[in-house]
Amino acid sequence: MSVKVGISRGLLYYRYFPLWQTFLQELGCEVILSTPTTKQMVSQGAGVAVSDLCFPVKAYFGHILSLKDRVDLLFVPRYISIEEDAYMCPKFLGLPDMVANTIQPLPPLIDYPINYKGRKKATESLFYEKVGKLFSRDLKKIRRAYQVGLERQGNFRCLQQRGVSFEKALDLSLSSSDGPGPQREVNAGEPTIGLVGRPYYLNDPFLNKGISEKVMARGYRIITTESLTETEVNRQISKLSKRVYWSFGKEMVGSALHFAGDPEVKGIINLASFGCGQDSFNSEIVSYHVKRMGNTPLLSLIFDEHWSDGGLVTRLEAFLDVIDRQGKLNRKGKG
Amino acid sequence: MKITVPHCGQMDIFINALCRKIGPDFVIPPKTSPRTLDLGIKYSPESTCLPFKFILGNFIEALEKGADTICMISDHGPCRVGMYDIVMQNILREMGYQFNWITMDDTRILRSYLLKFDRERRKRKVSLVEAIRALLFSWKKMNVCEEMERWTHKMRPYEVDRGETTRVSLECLRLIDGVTDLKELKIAREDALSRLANIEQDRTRQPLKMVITGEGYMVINPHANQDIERRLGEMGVEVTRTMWFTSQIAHAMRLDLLKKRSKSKAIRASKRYLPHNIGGECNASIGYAILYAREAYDGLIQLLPFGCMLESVAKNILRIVSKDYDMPILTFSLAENLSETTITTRLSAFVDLIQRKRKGREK
Repeated sequence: MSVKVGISRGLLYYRYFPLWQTFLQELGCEVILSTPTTKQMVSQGAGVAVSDLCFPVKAYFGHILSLKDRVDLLFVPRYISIEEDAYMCPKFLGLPDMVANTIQPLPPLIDYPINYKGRKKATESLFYEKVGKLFSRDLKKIRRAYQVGLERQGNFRCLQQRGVSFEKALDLSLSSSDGPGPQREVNAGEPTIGLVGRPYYLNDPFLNKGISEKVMARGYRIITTESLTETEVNRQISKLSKRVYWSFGKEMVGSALHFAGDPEVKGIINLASFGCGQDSFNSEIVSYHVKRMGNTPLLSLIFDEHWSDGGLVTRLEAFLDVIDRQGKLNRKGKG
Repeated sequence: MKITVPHCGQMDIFINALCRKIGPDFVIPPKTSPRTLDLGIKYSPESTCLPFKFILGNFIEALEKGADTICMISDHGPCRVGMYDIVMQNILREMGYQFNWITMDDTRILRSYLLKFDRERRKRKVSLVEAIRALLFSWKKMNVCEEMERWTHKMRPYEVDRGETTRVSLECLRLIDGVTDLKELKIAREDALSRLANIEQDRTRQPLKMVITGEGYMVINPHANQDIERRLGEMGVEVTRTMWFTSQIAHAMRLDLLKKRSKSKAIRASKRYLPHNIGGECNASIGYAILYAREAYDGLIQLLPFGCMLESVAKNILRIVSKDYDMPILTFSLAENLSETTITTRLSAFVDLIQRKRKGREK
C-alpha cells in the first residue's frame, strides 16, 4: 500500500505544487490534496491560531486540520530562502513548528529546510534527496523523480509567464504532455489591469474574494505578478536604492514597477494582507514609486477574514469607473 | 554635521558621554512624548509596526531641532527593520526635509562600524587611545545606568511609599549622566546605590517574580511598553527584563558567551520547540520562557508590536511552552491606540491570577 502524503492547498502550494506532486508521485506516494478553501476551514484554522497571524496562515491551519486524519505524512516544508539575497516570510520559517505546536495530535511532518542563505545551506536538490529517502533507497530514482518534477515545475511557470491562469497552467503542466503550451496571449486591444500580490493571494479565490473574475467581468484583461520572469523582476528591482530582501516582496514591487512602465496597463491593483509585516512596507514602496513613474491609477486592497465583499465591490467599481473614464477621455483627446 | 539617532533605552546617555569627549555633535531628539507618536502615526504607512512610528516621530522632532544627518541601523531581513531606512527616507523627503542619511548596515558586521568610527576619529584628529578610552568610559556609564535600573526592579515591590523608588532612581540617573570621568563615575555609582538602599522597605512582603521578554524595542523602551516595569513593580512584582541595550550589543559582538542568562543560551534552549533560528528575538523569547520557568519564576510577559512577524511565530509556540512548563504567559500585542487602562486592567488580572495560583500551591 502506498504512503499517503497530505499537501495543504495553501501558501506555497500556489507556487510549487507541480514539483511537489510530481516528485512524490514518481516515488510511489499517494498525494492527498485538501479541498479548496472554505469558510469553515478558515474559522477552524483561526480557532487554533493566535490572532496576530495573517489570514493566509490561518487558512493554512484550516487545511491542515481538514487533512490530518486522512494521511500518513504531512508535507510542510520549511522554506527559509529560495535565493541567496532574499528571505521568505518569517512565518514560513517557523511554519512547521507552529503547526506542530498548535495542532495535536498530528501525523509526522516532512519539514526539512530549504535555505540558500548563510552558513547552514540546504539547497533544493538536497531537500528533495532527504525527502526521497523517506520513500525509497534508490538515489537514482529519487534524482530522476526530482528531475521530472523540475521539468513540470518549469513548464508550469513558463505557462504562467505566458499569461495562462493558475488552474489552467496547473492542469496543462501536470497532464504529462510536454509539448509547447500556448504562446503568450496577444493583447487584442482590451485594456489591461495589473494584479500585484503573492501567489496565494492571486490564485486562491476564497482569499481574494474572486477579484480576478470581478475585474474580468468588467471587460478587462488581467496580468499578474506571476506572469513576470525573474529577469524582468530583477531588472525593475535593481532600479531601487536598496533591494527588497523578501522573495515575494521583490516580485510584488518589481511587477508593480513593470506594470507602471507598461502603457498597456491601465491600472494596478495591489493585494495585501492585513497584519502582514512585509506587505505594509511593500505597499508603501509600490505606491511611492508608482506615483512617481506617471499616472497609472493604483488601488491598494487589504484583505482579512471578513466574509462580506461589499466593501471590496464598492472600491473596485469606483476604481474601474475612474479607469473607464480615463480611457474615454484619452480616446476623445486623440480623436 | 549634526547627527541624530532614535531613542532606544538609555542610548542617549551613551551618545552624550561619547560626544562630550570626542564629538561629533549630536542632536538627541526630544524625549519621546505623545506628540512624537502622533507625528509618527500621521506620516507612517498605516500597518507598520509601532517601533517604526516612534522612530519616525523621533526623527521628525530631531529635524525640527536642527539635526542635518540621521543615523539609523539596518539589516538584511527577515525582520522589517531592514526596510526602515528606505521607507523613512522616502517619507521624510516627501515632507520636505533636507538631510543626510547614514545607514549602519548589517548589525552583525562589526567591522563596518569600526571602520566608520575610525574614519570619523581621524577626521576630528582624536588619538586612538583617547577614542578607545572615551568608548570604554561611555560603555561603563551605560552599564552603571542599567545596573541602577536592575536595582530599581528589585527594590520597587518592597517600597513602602509607592513611587519612591522611581523618584530616587531618576535622581540617580541624572547624577550619573553628569559625571565626566571614571573616578567620578565610581563615586556616583556608590552614592546612587546607597540612596537606593536607603529607601524605606517592607521586607516581609513576598513579591511575585516575573520576566519580561519579547521584541527588543518594545522591551527596552518604557515609552513603547507603557512603563510596564514600573506598573508591575508597583503592583508588588519583582521584574526581570531579558533585554538591555548593552546585552543586545554584547550579543551582536558575541561577548556574552559566558553570561548566565545570555541571549545565545536562550536561543539554544528554544531548540526543542523551534529548531531553526528565525532571527530577531523570536527564538530568544521562547528560550527565555524555558530558562526562567526552570528557575521557578511565577510568570512571563511577552511584548510585541502588533503585526510583528517574528514574535507572532513565538507567540504561537509560547502557548505550548506555557502548558509544558506550567508557567502563565501574558502576551501584549501593542498598537498605537492602547490605553493605559487596558494595560493596568490586564496586568492586574494577570497578577491576581498568579497570586491565586501561588496560594493554591501553598495550601
